Amino acid sequence: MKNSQLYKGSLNTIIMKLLEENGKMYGYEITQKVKFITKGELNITEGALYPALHKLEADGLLDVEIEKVDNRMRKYYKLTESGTKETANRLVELEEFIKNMQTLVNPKLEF
Amino acid sequence: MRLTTSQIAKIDETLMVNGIIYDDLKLELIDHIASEIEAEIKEPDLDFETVFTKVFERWKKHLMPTTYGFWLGYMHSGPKIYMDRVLKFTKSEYKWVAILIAFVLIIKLFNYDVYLNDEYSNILRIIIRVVVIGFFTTFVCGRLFLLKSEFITTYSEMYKKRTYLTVLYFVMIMVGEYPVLPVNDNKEGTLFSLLFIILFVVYIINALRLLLIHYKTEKQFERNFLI
Repeated sequence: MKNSQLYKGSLNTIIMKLLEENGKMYGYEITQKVKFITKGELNITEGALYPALHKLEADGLLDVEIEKVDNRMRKYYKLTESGTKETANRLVELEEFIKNMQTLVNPKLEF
Repeated sequence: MRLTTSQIAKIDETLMVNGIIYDDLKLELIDHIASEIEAEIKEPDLDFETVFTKVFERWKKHLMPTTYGFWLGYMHSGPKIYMDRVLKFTKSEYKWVAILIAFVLIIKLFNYDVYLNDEYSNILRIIIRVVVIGFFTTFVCGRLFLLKSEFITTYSEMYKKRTYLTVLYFVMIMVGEYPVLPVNDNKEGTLFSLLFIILFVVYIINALRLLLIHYKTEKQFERNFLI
């Protein structure tokens, strides 16, 4: 993942936000969606994606559905009820974080 | 282009050869790798074999045999993607072990200990014995249930790996290595012995958590008529 240290803390929120918008998604689809939205700037690696998805699932924020697609099985992730609530909270936190970072990086000096 | 059944079988086989024998992990990896191959094979002049090799080259780092030495034992090795999952679970466990040991050491610093030498102590020793045997029996039952399960998950494998230490630990408790059972006539301080009994119980509780996750995963598969 590009600039991994900067993005690391927000990965779960990014995943949850995508699931909120798209309903249910599978692992590869999430990586491609992020790549597409950021025009290739952000590339989530498998090594970061799956541990994050499994952690969210273990925390009860994601639910899993397995479907047969073509000639293989596919594991879809979707938000649970508490996952939807948590997404809203985390997005607020993330927006606050971005706002604070912007203030820190480009401080407006008042005289 | 959609991959054929035999092409999917080749991915499955390659994963198995590389140690991905866990159904839960394999299912996800097959789909991810197949999706990557399908996306790349769209380019002209690329056949399945070429793209297959290219994609697996990228996955190599996740599949290479790994050990985490001190954390999980030098004998415990497996594909990195599996070992990472084991490490994550175990590290969260170590946190509690460290807290418990620190708590006991602090109590010891103040020269406090537990002395099981009054008339109520025998009742406590009996309770401890019942708890230890109870948890051990539950663990063994879980292990026997797993023999029936046709499904292998990362969690069932982690549970099975705990068998040796659980049996060894149980035997040590029973032969009086940690003298807090009714058969032991040690009346001296037993704080450290109690700590080891608690750690034994915590170890088995965590193993049972693994078993629950295994059966939950199996149920998800059954729901989708996979077994």
